[in-house]
Amino acid sequence: MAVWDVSVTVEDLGPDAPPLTLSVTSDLHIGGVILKLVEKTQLKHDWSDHALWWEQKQQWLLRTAWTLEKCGIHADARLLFMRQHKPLKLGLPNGTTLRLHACFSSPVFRTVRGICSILNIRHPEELSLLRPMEEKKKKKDKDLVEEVYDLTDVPLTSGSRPCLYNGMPAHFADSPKTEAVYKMLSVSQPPPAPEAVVKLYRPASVVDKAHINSRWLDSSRSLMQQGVQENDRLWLRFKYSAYYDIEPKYDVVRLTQLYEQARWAILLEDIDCTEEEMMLFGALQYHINKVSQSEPQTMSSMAAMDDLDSALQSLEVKMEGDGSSATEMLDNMCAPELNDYLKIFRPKRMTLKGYKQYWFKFQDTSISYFKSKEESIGEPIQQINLKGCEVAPDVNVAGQKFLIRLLIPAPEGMNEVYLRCENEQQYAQWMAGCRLASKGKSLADSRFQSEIQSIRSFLAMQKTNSGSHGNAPATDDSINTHSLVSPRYHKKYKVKQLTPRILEAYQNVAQLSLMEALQRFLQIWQSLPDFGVSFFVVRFKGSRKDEVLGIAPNRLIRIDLGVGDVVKTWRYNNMRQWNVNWDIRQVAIEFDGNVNIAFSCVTADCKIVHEFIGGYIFLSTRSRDKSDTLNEELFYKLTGGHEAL
Amino acid sequence: MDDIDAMFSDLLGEMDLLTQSLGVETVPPASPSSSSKEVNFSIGFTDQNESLNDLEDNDLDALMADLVADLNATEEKMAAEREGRKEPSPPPSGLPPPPQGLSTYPAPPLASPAASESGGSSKVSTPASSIASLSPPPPPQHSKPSMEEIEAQMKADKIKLALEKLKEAKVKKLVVKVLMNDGSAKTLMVDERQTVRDVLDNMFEKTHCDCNVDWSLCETNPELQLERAFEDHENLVEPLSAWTRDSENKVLFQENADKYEVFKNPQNFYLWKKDKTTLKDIKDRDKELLVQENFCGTSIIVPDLEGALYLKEDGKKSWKQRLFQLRASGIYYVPKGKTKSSRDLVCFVQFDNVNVYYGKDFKSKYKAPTDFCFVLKHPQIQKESQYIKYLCCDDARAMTLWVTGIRIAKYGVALHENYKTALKKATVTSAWTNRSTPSTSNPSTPSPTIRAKASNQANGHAAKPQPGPDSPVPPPPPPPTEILPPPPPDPVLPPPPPPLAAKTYNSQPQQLFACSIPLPPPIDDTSEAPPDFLPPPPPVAGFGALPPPPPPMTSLPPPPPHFGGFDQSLPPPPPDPDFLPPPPPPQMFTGPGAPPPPAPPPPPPPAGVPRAGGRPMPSVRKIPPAPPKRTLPPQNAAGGGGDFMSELMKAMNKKRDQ
Repeated sequence: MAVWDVSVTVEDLGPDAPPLTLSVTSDLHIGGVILKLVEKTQLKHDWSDHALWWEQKQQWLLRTAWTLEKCGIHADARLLFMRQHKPLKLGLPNGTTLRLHACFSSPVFRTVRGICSILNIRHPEELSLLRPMEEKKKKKDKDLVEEVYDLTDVPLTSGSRPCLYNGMPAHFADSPKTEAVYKMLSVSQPPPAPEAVVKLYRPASVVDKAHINSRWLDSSRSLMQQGVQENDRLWLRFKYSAYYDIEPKYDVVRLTQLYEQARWAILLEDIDCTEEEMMLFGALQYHINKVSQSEPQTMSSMAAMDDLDSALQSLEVKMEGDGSSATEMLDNMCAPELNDYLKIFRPKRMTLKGYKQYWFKFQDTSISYFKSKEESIGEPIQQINLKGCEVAPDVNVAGQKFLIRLLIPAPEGMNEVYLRCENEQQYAQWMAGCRLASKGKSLADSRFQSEIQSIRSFLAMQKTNSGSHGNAPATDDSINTHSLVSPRYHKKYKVKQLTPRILEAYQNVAQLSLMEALQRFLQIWQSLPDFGVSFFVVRFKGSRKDEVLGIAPNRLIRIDLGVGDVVKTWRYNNMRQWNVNWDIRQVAIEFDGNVNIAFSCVTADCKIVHEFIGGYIFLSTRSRDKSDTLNEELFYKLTGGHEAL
Repeated sequence: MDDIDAMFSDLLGEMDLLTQSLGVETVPPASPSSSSKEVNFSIGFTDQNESLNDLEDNDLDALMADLVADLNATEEKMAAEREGRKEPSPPPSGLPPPPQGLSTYPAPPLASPAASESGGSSKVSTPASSIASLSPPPPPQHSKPSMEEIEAQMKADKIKLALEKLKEAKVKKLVVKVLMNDGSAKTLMVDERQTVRDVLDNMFEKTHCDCNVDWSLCETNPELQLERAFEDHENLVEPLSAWTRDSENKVLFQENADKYEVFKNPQNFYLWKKDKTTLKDIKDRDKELLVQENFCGTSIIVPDLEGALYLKEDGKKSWKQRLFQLRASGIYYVPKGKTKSSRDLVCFVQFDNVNVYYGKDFKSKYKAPTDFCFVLKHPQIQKESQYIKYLCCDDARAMTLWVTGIRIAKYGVALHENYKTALKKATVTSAWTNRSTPSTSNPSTPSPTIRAKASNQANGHAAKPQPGPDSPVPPPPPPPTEILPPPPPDPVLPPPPPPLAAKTYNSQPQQLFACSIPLPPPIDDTSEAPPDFLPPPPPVAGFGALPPPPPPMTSLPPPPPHFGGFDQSLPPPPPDPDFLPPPPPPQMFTGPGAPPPPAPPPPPPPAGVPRAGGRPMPSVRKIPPAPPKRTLPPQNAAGGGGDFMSELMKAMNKKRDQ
């Protein structure tokens, strides 16, 4: 058989080294070529990760048993011998950048799986990679070096679930550096500066949102094949909005990153919500930030905490560690009450009279008031039970106005009562009491103190924001509330107006634990009407204008591009089949009852649309098959298109 | 019998004088102690004597037992407290002594399973303190841990105990009259902790209706012409407490097709925009999928309702049309001249503090455009007020859509849980009816049942819920099942709290299960039967499929084969009884939150237990009324009318002796 030469560039010899020339025959298999090559380089090296890349054809030669002839390689082929795993800069949902080794030779689907197993994110099928937005780096902020977390030292793990060590996967516990990475992954980031949010790109229309979807990588081809180079930047995002089996115990990183993605979707107005919802999102962000900063240790140990028992035990220890002896505690718990002079005003009844001072007593869930302290033994002038009432703050720290507005239900309707406090301290206590009582909790509730604390920190926030930087020691607490809401509300409300609104919403979430708060945030996000819809601009067959196709976890939505109205929805469970004509790049779908639709894609490649639909069908098969292993083959079958078949 | 009635009239009459209430009368005297301000009263009666007469024998008995139990509990509690205060440390004597003078009768022997069960239930209730303060180390080993540890432990336990008692002390009870469809009424005692589900189960037992999922308790407000079905997870006492004293509100027991329609025909709510034929032809599989999608995911999806509704303007008689939208966070409307985009919506109401009610006959009352109206208001508002929001729909379908949608938004996953529980209940019950009708001659005599409850309560007089997971007792005791203990000879005198019982109970849970599970069939017969234990009736066809005592580990009944992986969430009533999940096992293992399925049979009473009064053994327990913890009587009422109570006891004794 004829011997001919093939030239191979070896990456490890340096960029300027000339290609090596090997004499080969057509029946030599790829493995043999590699063997010859390695001998020729005379480098002692671990070559196990290396493979041949065929430049002209843009493909990997991974089947080492195939002969050159079978691969179709001739003397003109330019081959490249290089590592399959290369460093990649990964933009995470939380906005940070992480450098790690990713596989450049396997399909993106499997590469994402590898990345997720390093990051300890379960259900990697829900995520994928996309190309970042072109950043307009015209301004001279080059000196601003972006912080990059590095995980390239972490050895590549096999697919199995990593064992936990110290509350984190073992490979993170190696060094302080990797521990810091894990903390970044598993603890939500502090709220961004409002100015930074304003600068970021926000999709202004459904078409903008559609364009974002054109940047997803093809899951069935490798990074290399899609032109991604070593050290390039890609984003890792949750792509499919069907989050399966979220389990706080195992999903700390997954939940945190999902929360971050949701939070940014809200802040950047990627998904629309009402003002009330925005305030609640703001309150939850505030709460999550506060809780995760105040108790990062307990959080990581929470993850390790296996059963309720140990949780209870630690709680008990905490209770005992409070210093006061148990009996004292008991005494305290029996009859906690507040007593003080406050001013009361009833806007309805005595409109002409102003605030009147009485001696107030807060006991259990009721407030009673007396003429004076001395008369407080007798019958109160009135007793008000606060259970089920609405509590609203009316505070102006600069103006020393501390008002508690109560709306108390009665058979005849709601009674309005205002309580005026003298100072911050008094206000925080009584307000905390009112809040608890409105939910049927007495002052004995363990949350009383933390409630007081959170009210005070909100007051502190107002103080710093109103300019008087006097005595606000807690700098962590003084968040600019603008950073909790989308830029639309920066214009609409001043910080002074916004803070009380968020505080109001905060009442309902202040008791949540970190994990509960994260989950609540995600739940509210997921119940937004537009949640989970990925938009594409398409041209339906027989139609002359562009329209929008929305792909949701359970249905396709045809949307009028101009008005934004839903024209029609088709559910997947009525879908018989769908086909892609790769020549004319048209997607055709058949539904029950002989409903046929076909469209071509305008803003994205039809492969992406195809993959979205197939991906959701794939995800919906998960619930039936509870096994932990992913049916990768099925995924490619459903999403791969003609190349995979 | 007359004695007791007379006693009761006296008691109530006196109370009435004291309270001078208008039509709402105090039944158990208010306790003068911690919760002196709480007054227990009855609901649904216009007149004192009516309420009395209404109480059937059995109810009366139950009430008596309750009161007595309360008294005992309080006394015992006080004793325990005294004891605890005095000597907090010595572990062997840490056990509160048996309440003085109360322990005349020994606890039932532990030999028979039934007895041990009763020992168990009486124990649970017997001073939980005895468990708490003593364990983990059993008395003989007390020398091992250091004194300080023990002391610390005891302190911690006492705190728990005290908190528990504080809770207990406030338990409130109402006597509620529930109106039936046929105009008759049933009277029951409802404890603050009982959910509507519990009360419904109680009603099922009293009425022997078919127990289908549509049965519900509704409140009506004639003044506002409103009606609302309580949700099964709500506590009944709370909304009833919001009624005014002169209220004409009523509680109805009726079938309400809208209650769970969204789970039966989810397409009508989630695909409401589609045309009617498509909706009618929808496959069962697709229905399942809809429920799955909207209720079983990480978050509940609210139907995307949107449409024009009429809104009654504040204080005016006019109704104005607006475009409303339902979202998970509330109802919004589109302001004039704005788009429907989320950011422009104005919040009309959020659901935290309001309930949704159907309005009746608003066309004439408020000049509404149609009679399909609903109302949102704070549950405590009982009279006309500007804080009530009145809305009016074009047709009945829209009204059902909106009201259901609001319920989904407000209650979320609880609604689905309720449905599943109700379904389970319905399925189990229908199985029981199916198989027990041939064999039970007299399942409908309510009297033994109630008697059973009464005695149970008397027995478990110290109404403490289980120490729960925070108890130091290593294996959390299984929820006491509703197996009826043989009633104590005299409910007045509870068995002493035997430390032995505590131990046995805790160490033998498996055994208890093993004993009680395989027995379900025979029970029905024992109701009126002599103790000489009939052989089990020939089981109905499918019943043979019941597994023997389930392995302790499996917590679910074997799913009917055809439901695949989803069996838990959607077991529709199986077409034939063959596929019924075996009733007892779920009860055993699903814990107190689970619906109470039929109780396992109490074996015949041990011969040694004397029974006064000649009544047949109360053993039919087709449907236990409530999860065990809830049947435990609260204690607050006791102590208060010390005199009344002793009188009552005397009367009770007299009666028993007859």
